[in-house]
Amino acid sequence: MFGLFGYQVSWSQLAWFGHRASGLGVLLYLFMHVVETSTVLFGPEVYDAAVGIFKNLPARLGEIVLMAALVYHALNGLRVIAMDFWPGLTVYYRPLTYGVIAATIVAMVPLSILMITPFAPWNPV
Amino acid sequence: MDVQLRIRRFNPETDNEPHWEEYTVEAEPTDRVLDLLHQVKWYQDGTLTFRRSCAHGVCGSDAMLINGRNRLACETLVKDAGDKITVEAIRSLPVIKDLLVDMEPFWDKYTAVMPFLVNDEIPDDGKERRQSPADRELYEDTSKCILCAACTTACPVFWTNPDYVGPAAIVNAHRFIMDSRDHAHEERLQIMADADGVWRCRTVFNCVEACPRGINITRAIMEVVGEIQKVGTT
Repeated sequence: MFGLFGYQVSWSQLAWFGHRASGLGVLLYLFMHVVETSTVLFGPEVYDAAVGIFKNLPARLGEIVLMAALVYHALNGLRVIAMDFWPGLTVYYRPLTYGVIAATIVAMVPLSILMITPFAPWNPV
Repeated sequence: MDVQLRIRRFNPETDNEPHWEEYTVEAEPTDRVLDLLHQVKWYQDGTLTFRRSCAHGVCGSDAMLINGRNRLACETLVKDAGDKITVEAIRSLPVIKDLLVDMEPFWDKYTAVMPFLVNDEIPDDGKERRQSPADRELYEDTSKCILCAACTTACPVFWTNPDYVGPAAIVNAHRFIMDSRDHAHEERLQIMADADGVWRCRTVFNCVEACPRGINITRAIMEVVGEIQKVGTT
């Protein structure tokens, strides 16, 4: 594994860092989303134009990253909450960490396909 | 085999900043990193400063950042560490010289949790306070702590918040909180429920990975959280 902050990371430390990073990323998106949605106050044309900015392939790829952050943050959050309620689970912190990472990857395969399909080059709008 | 040993050195009398120095040391794969440090100190550079006492993983005085992870130098074998080894002082405690850190901030947190049995009552038989094997088992794991500070100085929360009581102090609080003979249960939980107490734990598990005694520290922290919830301390 590589070093983070000068300390060799373990998967569990990476999981914690990923939890923070994904949480912060989703929060930043939320601010942007509030601004985007609030354009409805200026009429339907302005709102459609604002929403239209995100209706393209690069924006959709960004939304897939956002979805991955949400899925990971939710699953890892459940892992942390579970260990809070049942301290005995901490014995399995390594498999639980691997499980969260694997579950995120597995969930993102169909989600990515579903999300990318409307904007995929092989799927003319 | 020859081992390249990189040591992060700092002499407050001559250096403004810590710097790296390299040494080539001949070693057997079954030698320990502590043996390499002895080689350097005894035969190459007598000014190298580090702390060690028993040299057998009992006293806990030679915790160091070895190849980027907190370990005891006396328990880390060359065959596991490789032929390029970096050694630094443990983090977030003031460096006195080279690998020697000032442990006082660590001891302050340790003593704050009252790490001693509080019981002024005379035992029923006038001699000893009996305890069932099941009750003894509750703190078996945390009674193994050797206070090496490897866990506390591996904790990212402690790196950024030196006021955090830290894993080692919580482990030693747990040892007495879970002791059926102790009478300072709520007093200790009050200390643990402080803003810089158990709530700061972010379940990173660096402490568990670093503990040379294999203590499940995060479990102990979560059990203390459970005790606080039972008592309702705020």
